[in-house]
Amino acid sequence: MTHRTYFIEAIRLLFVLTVGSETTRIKTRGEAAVFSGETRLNAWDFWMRYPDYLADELIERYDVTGEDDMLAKAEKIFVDNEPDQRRLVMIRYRFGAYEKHDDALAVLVSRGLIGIGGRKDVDRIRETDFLIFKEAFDLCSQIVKDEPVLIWYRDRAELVHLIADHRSGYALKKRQYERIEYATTLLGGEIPSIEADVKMRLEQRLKRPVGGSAA
Amino acid sequence: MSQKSAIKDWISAIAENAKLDVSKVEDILAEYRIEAMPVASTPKHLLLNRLRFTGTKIIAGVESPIDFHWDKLGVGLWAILSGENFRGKSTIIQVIRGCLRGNLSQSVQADVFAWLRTVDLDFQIDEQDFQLRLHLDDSLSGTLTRHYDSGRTRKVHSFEDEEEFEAAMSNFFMKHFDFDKFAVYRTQDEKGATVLHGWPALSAAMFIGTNYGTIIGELSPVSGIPVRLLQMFLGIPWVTTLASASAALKEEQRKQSASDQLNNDAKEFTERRLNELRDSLAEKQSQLAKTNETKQLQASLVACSESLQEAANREIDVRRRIRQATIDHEDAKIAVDEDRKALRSHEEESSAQTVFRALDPKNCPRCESSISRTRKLNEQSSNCCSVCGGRVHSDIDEAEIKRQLSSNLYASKKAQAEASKCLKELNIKLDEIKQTVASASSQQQKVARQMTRPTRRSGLLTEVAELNARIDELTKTIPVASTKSTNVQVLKIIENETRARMKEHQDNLLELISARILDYARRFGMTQLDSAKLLGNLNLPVVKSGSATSYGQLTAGEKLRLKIATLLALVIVGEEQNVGRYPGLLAIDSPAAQEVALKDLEQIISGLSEIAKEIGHLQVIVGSRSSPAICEQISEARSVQAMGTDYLW
Repeated sequence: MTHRTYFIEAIRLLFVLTVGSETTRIKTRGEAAVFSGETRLNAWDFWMRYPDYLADELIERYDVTGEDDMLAKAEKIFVDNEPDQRRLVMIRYRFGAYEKHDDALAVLVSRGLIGIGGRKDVDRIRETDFLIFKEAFDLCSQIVKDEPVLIWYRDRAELVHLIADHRSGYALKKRQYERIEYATTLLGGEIPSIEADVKMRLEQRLKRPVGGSAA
Repeated sequence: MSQKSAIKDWISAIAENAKLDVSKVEDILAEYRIEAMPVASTPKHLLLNRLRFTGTKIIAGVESPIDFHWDKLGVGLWAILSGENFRGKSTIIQVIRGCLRGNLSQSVQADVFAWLRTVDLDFQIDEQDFQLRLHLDDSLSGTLTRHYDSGRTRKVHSFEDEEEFEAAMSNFFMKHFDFDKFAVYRTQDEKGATVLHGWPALSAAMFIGTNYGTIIGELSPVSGIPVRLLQMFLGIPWVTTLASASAALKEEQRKQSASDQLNNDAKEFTERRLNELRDSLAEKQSQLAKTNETKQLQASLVACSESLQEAANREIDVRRRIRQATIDHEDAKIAVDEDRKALRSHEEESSAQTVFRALDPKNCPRCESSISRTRKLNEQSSNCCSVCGGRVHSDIDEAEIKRQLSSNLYASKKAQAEASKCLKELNIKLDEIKQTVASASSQQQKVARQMTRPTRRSGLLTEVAELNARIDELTKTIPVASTKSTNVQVLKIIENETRARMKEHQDNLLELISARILDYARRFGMTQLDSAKLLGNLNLPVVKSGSATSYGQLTAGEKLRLKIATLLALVIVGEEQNVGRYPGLLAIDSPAAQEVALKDLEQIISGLSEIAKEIGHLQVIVGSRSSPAICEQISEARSVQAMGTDYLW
């Protein structure tokens, strides 16, 4: 992995952390907001890196709420061929997707954008909070303005936020595990694509013949 | 010429004309029962001796007995005379006629017949005595007996009813006068038949009644019978032979005609059937011409198979190319995806690099301590990282990499478009080939089906062969228009030869008879008659007061005179020539006054009186009204008379 990939990973995490953070009254080190837990970060990142699993969640949301917008967003993922173009493979570890982000987080820490918060026990698991400084929010605004090619990361982080719906990292991990388990991934193996399965579910709801191309 | 040599000459002439062997001619003559009879037998004479009849007559409810008898009759003129008509003259002549004919009930009026109880007639045939005894009770019965001079009697016939009576009298007289039944061909309802005539026709000629239609007998000349009677009574040689030959010829011609008709019908039917068969044959041959030869079918099948195989091979090739093109297209798509991904990643990474390079490190990512001012200044001067000491600015030309990645993407997109186009074309081609295969397969199946239908063609061949055979067979059986049957030809020759011989005799006799007719008619009072000529067909053209006329145009009185004159002439000429076979009796029943005047009768009876004396064997019985002139001619002894209004019986 080169510094170039750390940078793009750092961009992805920057948007996840800023979009997923919450303001807190306790300002330990002058942070503007806090992103709670590494488990939650991994859960968000999984949806950032597997567009087919995200589309699956959008369809699930449509089935529950009947929001046509959810179906349209899911369809656009396939229209843009995202499962091929945007998937970044993750490894299944214990109860979900997991990857250590130390190098990318270091890029953000060294630029004074985030700080690593104190560890605390959440649901009997020791979790790390991420302190998000005002500079991080400013940088996001500047990126949207100066580097349009990276806007996708902000938009996707916002879509993941919509799906995560303030759920805890544990709840998200549990939810994702069900789906990953269904995909029968070996422990430690690459989490596979479920593109074909999700595409079929989408076509059924769009009342289009199965096998037809959405592209 | 002797009889034997005359017959021999006759048969030879027939054989020569017919170009046949004499034996063959004899066979034909035997087949048709044509007997050569060139010479008549000696004439025989009938003479009535005695007539008696008894019974009871009932007039106006009053019964009175009948017992009429007229004895001692002999040759010469005898008369039945009455002062007025309807006094019984006709009955006496009718009883005589009924006895001789054997049909009393038909000869006598029905009421008179019912009155009669017995009838006796004694007569002679050339000195032989015969007695006829009839009993009329409930039915007719009786006997015919011959009486010999010795007093011995022999019963010739006995009869229990009128049918037996008629048959007996007919056989008896035909045999004694040596008459043959004569054949006359009669046409009726477009059919013809030969009818044999005998005693009834012959005996009728002896009685002249009130029917003057024909000169001899009572039947129309059209029947052919009067001419035969003339010939028979004249005893002209060959007459019966000619009659038999003519009848046989006509019968054979009728059969021939019927046969020709059948033949024509058969021919017409056969030709019609032949035409039908020929039509069928033409149709089958036309159908046969349409069916393909097996060899053609086989060649066609081979061609079909070849084109099907060729098309199938092409399909396999195109499918193989489509598989390859699909793989190529997939590869191209993957390449496009990869190139696009690479370009995008590069762009994103470049942007991310730009973002973070613009930000100087503030803290150590490891310990989060602030970066010192010294380190930052050092980095600006040495291009070495203020955190780790590595080189900060990359030498990589970002724009060049981007251009390269864009170029890759362009190339892979082009390759994908080409693969897509190629695939599309191949699929179109595949559709065309599929159609070609289907068409070739269908054609092959069609030809194969035709080949598996050999029975249709062989069936047609069989039908054509059968039709040809039937046409051949029928053509052979078309009846050819039959040549005139040999028998008809021979019978014509027989008729001609016989007629020639008969005519030779007849013409001579007719001339003699004509002379007698003229003589006798004048003596019966037709003094104005200039000439009379009896022809073979019984026509009698006459010249009266210088004008030519014929028998049919004359008055009843004149006809009666000529009728009697002709019969008497026939008798006398036959007698003189020793050929005549007239039985010798003539009975004349005079007509009513309104038809023939009394003066006519007086003249006729006057003539008869003289002529009867001239013909020695002749017996003439005449019924007439009485007159002084008549009574002068006929003595009381030779007549029965009823004077005034008296009845004869």
